[in-house]
Amino acid sequence: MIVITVKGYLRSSGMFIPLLGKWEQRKSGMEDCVVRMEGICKYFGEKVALEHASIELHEGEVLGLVGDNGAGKSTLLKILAGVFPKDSGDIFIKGRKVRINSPRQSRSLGIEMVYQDMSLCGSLNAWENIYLGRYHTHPLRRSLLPILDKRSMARKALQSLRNLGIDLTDINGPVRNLSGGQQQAVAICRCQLFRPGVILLDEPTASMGMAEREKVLDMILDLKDQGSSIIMVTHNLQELFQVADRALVVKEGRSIWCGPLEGMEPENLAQMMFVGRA
Amino acid sequence: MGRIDRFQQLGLLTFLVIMGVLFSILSPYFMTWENLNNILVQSAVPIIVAVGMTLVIATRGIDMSIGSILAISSIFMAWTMKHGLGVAEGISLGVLSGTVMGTFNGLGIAKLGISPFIVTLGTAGIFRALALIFTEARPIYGMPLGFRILGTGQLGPVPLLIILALIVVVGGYFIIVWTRFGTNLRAVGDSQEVAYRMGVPVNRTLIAVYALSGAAAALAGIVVTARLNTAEAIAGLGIELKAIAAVVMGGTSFFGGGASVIGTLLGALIIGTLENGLTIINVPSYYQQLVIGVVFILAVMADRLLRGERDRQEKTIKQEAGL
Ligand SMILES: Nc1ncnc2c1ncn2[C@@H]1O[C@H](COP(=O)(O)OP(=O)(O)OP(=O)(O)O)[C@@H](O)[C@H]1O
Ligand SMILES: [Mg+2]
Repeated sequence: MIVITVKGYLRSSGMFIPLLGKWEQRKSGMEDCVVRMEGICKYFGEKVALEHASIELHEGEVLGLVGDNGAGKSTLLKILAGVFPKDSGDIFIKGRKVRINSPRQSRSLGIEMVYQDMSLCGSLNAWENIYLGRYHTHPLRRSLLPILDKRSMARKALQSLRNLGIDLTDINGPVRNLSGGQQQAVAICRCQLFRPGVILLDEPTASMGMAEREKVLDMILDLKDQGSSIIMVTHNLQELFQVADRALVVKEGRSIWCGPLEGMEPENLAQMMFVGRA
Repeated sequence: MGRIDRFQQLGLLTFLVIMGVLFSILSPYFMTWENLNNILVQSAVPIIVAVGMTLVIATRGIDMSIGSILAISSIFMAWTMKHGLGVAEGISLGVLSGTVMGTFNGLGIAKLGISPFIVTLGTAGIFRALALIFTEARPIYGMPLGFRILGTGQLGPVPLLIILALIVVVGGYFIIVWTRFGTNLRAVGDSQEVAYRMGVPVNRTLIAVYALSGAAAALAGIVVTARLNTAEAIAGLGIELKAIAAVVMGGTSFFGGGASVIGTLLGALIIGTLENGLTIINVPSYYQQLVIGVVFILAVMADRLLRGERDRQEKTIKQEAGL
């Protein structure tokens, strides 16, 4: 009975009307927006991947990004991570308009991403992957010759993997020999090691078992408590309701709904994802 | 650098020893100090260029132009020394010219996105032609003594050019195992896309790798010029095949990811021993070409079987997972 009432209330309050990128949170001040992307368009040749998609990520929240296969979720995050250039639209970080031309630049803005395909080098080992692009060198010898500080990197990588409940017997073996879940753990460790302000997670638990999945969800909440703002793509609604504060629904390249998950029914969200309205 | 590498290197070492035993049974002249020294001296040039080629192949590339770069930088240093420059200046300019030509390759590959084979095959032709045009196909004789010493001199019992080759090997090993650049180049060989996403400067890494390969070719040019006391436009002809064979035999794969300078050293020594042994047991030199060609194809085939299969498996797994 209560459920029906809540549903009725939400419906009558107009929250399910597609907002086409302009939603209520907008007027509540831009300062608490860590990331704002507006009117993002992206075409792959003839194919339209994103059409005036918008997203707002608030300080210290977990924003769930949901939608059907091929809706454009990954493309949106990859634009923010600097993998693809956008065809049009604006990106603001903490209210300041930025251009992101490369993953390097995105990283320097404090943005880290766990890619859907995990983006690991199969023939490199776990710590080489985790530290790829920003290796530690020996502090003493740094000025003379930049010799890699392998021991410290291996130790720290092993430790952060342990925190996820992954105990690698061979930290020096190529990651291609690891299981899918272990590989995903490596990718997740890589994104959180440098305490980024913004973390983009593209289906981070897709190939994990139950126990590992719980650990990853715990870690996401930990990272949020430590002050990171997080966008997480997921197809698992249970997982979404477990960790996300708000959700953004993307359909056929457009952002069609955004709002808090509190008091929301999973079925309604699912309907929105697949039908486009509740 | 895992256990598999060690295993493969042990295999190569065993092969080298077996070959040595076989040749010394077939000929009493093989296992003498003089001849072993000879093998090392003969192998210095292939070793030096093969170390450069190891870096290139580790990025999934190839450098077909090292023979031409060797010739042109050899001519360049001979010409400058003939025209009054000192030995040190001549050598520096020679190595610099090799590096510049390598950078040229790297720029074509990284910035224009043309395949390494096509770019370096093209520049191989261009550089060789330039060498022939510049010298009018005539050799340059008569280097200064201070320069010739590099080819004939010894430090104690060890010839200087063996020391030079060893320095190059140690340098290559250090780069691959202990530096950022070394790990970056292996990552680029594994997947350029992943390396790019992780902020590795992919283009700069590729350009540097080809520049180093050019520099190695120029160092080999010093050895050739100093030993023969001659610089000529046809120097280093076909050296790239030997280098590629040594690298692939040594366990650095055409499919990227792994790079082993020690393996390359063993590969080059195997080829050198094979050539030397075949000469000593009086096999005519055209048969030697045949044997080297066969060894080359076998090494590439083994690479295809061992790593190519793995690559295909990885691809199908990824396709099935819909990635
Ligand atoms: N590199 C690319 N080249 C061409 N088309 C692409 C490329 N990347 C994505 N697309 C297309 O853009 C659209 C959006 O893809 P995207 O990967 O963003 O979807 P998604 O919402 O992440 O889907 P999924 O849930 O399956 O991961 C799809 O139709 C896809 O085919
Ligand atoms: Mg996706």
